[in-house]
Amino acid sequence: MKNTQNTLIMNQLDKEKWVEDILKSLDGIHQPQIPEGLYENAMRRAAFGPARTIRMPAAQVWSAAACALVLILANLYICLDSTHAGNKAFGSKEIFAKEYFGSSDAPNF
Amino acid sequence: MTESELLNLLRKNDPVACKFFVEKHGNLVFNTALGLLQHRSDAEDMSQDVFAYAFQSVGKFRGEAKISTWLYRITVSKSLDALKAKKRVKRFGFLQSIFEGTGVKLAFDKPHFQHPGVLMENQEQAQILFLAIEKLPDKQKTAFVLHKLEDLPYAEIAEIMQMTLSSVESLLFRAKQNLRQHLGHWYEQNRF
Repeated sequence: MKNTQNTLIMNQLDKEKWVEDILKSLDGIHQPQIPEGLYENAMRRAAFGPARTIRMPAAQVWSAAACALVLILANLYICLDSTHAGNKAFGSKEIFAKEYFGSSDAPNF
Repeated sequence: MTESELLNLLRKNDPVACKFFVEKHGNLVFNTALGLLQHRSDAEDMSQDVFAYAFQSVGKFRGEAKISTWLYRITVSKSLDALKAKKRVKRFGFLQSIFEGTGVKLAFDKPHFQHPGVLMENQEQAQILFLAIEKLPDKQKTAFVLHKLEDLPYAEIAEIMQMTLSSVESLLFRAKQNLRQHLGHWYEQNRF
């Protein structure tokens, strides 16, 4: 029991020492050299002007998404509806004949 | 050359003054960007961007703060914006990895950044520290980088971050606490 406790305390001390060592690892850091051609590249960028990111307003993004959703749902509804109607039409010869020949010219099956 | 003389020449687009400006302040911009972005080529790109912006907006700078403070502010704000954009890409990559079933362990969970200014014998430990710094909230990260990498006094950090001295002190205290916590977790997960 006492051994386990001692091991735990030792582990905790090891951990704390390790953390402190890591925190000290930036001591004595020196500044890195300036990248080559920084002045020339910066001047070139300044001459061309800043790169512009054009963002759409959030309202426009949401309305575009809503429109797309409405279109998808409408298409889905039409597809399902026409499939259903198609099944009905081809399911019954009378309806098929009425559709294509009109009620008066419909041949008798 | 005084700061106001330099500013006047910069406003006139004097090439000698522009070159002097980059040579004088290049280190602070590059080192700060490197500390925040933890990526050499991103920091180089950011330094160019910061100076290009400074040349374009020097006319608007009223000279109330020091030139270095102004440059630090631009560097910090642009670097934090770049980090946010990077995080968005990472989040998308994370989702993609779930959908494609390539596993969710990403490369940025491992120490990856070697700061060129860190002493050779400390490189391995510094990599772990940079990984923990990456996890800090933006303000704590900024204060810690300015203090540790740029060796700036609290008063100057307060001026750059436009905060009171006591706020900076408390930010740095919380940053160190959080770092201890992150490093503690790291130690437990990767027990040597």
